[in-house]
Amino acid sequence: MTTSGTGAPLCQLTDVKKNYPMGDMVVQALKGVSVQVWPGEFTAFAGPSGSGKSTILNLIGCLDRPSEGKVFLEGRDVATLKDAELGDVRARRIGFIFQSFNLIPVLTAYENVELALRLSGADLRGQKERVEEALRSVGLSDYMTRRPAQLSGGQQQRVAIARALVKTPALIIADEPTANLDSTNGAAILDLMKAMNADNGTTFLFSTHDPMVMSRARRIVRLSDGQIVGDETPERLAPQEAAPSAPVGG
Amino acid sequence: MFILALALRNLFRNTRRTVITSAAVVFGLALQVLGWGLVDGLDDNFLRAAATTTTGDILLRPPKYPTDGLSFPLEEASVPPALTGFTGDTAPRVLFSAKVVHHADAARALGVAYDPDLDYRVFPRERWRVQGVWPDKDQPQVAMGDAMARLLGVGLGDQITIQARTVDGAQNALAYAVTALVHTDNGQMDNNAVWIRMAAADELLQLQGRRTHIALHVGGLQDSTVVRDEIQASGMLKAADGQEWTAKTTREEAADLLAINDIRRKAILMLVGVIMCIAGLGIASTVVMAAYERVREIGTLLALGMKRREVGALFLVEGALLGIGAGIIGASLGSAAVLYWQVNGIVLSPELMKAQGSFPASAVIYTHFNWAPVFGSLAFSAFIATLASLFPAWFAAHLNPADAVRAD
Repeated sequence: MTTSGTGAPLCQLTDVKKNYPMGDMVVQALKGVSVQVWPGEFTAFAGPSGSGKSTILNLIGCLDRPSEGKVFLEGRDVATLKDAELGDVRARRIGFIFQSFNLIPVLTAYENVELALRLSGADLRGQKERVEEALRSVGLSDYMTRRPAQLSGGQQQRVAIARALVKTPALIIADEPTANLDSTNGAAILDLMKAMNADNGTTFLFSTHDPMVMSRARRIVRLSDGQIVGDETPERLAPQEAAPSAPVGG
Repeated sequence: MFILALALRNLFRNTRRTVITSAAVVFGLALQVLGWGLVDGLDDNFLRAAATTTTGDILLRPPKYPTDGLSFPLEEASVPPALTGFTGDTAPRVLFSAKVVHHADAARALGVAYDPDLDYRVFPRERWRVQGVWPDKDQPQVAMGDAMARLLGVGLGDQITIQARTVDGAQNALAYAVTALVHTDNGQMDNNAVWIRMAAADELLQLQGRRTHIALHVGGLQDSTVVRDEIQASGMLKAADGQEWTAKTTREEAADLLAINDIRRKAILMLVGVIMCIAGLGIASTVVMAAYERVREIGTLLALGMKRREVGALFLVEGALLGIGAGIIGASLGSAAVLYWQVNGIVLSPELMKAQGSFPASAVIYTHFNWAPVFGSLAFSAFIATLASLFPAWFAAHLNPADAVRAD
């Protein structure tokens, strides 16, 4: 369990269960999970495969609805939102970074980033500058016109980060963002994410089972078999390094 | 606009598959436009062949005279109306069944008795190819269709005998010299006709001023119906003997042949419909494959906030673009062929001309370009393609983004 920091939580899961039908059986992916995430966190959801990491991120990311329980994002119960409203929340408030990068292959790096900004409904004025700035911030100014197939894995993930950042979301969800990268690129991507978190205060939630990734998290929520089995702020972190309103793990 | 641009990019993701899928649409629409142009050309051909050799723009007949164009009963010949007040050109004629004998050979023929001072004003002889000279007024001479002359082995200057019944039903036979071999716009005339001056026909048929037809030239087929109605309304068709002649436009005369062409159009539509259905299945298959291959991409678009209806629209637009693109190529190819043959014509072989027998048709068919089948086929193609994309669009729009973003 967590205790609250100052202000309101960015998102809050209360006794959330998620069931998936599988043939005649029902698989319980989450078995009554409660957790709060505060603005500015850099939090890892850690656990082995099948522990429920991705399911939690799907729910927080408004990609899915809980079978039971409440999921609040910025105070709104997302389980009550219609599909189109969920889409709006995703478009405006949440950025995604995927394990397999998930760039649109027929679009250039610039266009991939521009797509996210366009879908967010952002003002068209200044769009070009924002896209270019996002790509510059991830070090890809010289690769804007390249398509994903012409970029390395690390570069593709940087484009994905730029795509997530360009709309200045409240929350970025990264599902095993370094799983398809070598250790050097993986570390570079994590450093980049951490810098974005530190510079902009953007909240990052990511799933992982990689100790290297976990070592860089400010908070680690451990999952096993659909339940939270640990929620900790690593002792190595100095108090000033902790998230601005980070809870104390319990 | 963005969806359109993205759909266009997606179409060229797998160019080979797009091209193969498009091929059926291209073929179907090219066939439709070309087939339509050909049948429209046949219409024109029939009308032109009839107008320039037998009917003029409007054809007048005695009231009881058959209109099937197959029998020519001389007993129905009648004193023609004076057509007082008609300002166009007129060509009174007598058509009669005859037998032409040349040495030991003989053939049935269509006798065409004409007024040499009037006939050429309605029937543009300058369009015909004539070997020799038209018959002299004081001589027993005739002109003959060149195909018939070949059949009977008749050459210029040869003597032939024409056997026919007079108006009163008596048999008569007279000898004539062939002074001209004529090739008209109408294969039917070339195969069967013998032209004889009205004065000479009077002697052979004992016409006594009676005529079987009057062809009118009114300066264009478009005006024919209006003029025909005016002539009928004015009482101009009433002859001195009180009989009121009938009047039909060339299009009405060729109604049976045009109806056959309408059947051809329907057959083309059915054939193209089948091809387009097959093409539609191909498009459906292509777009379905595209949807299944791009599940993760669809999930990404949904995750980024694209609305489900926009995702569905993306696939509909892809299908529509495929149909429209292939349609434009197919319609362009078909149009190019129609325009080429509209200028250069399709020359029918002599064997085919013999085979077409009693139809008025020229040996060269000019296709007729028309925008209607081009736009119609494009709309049809877009409709079929969009229809074929409905399922993939529905499939894509209903994917669960949480599952789709992690799809393999």
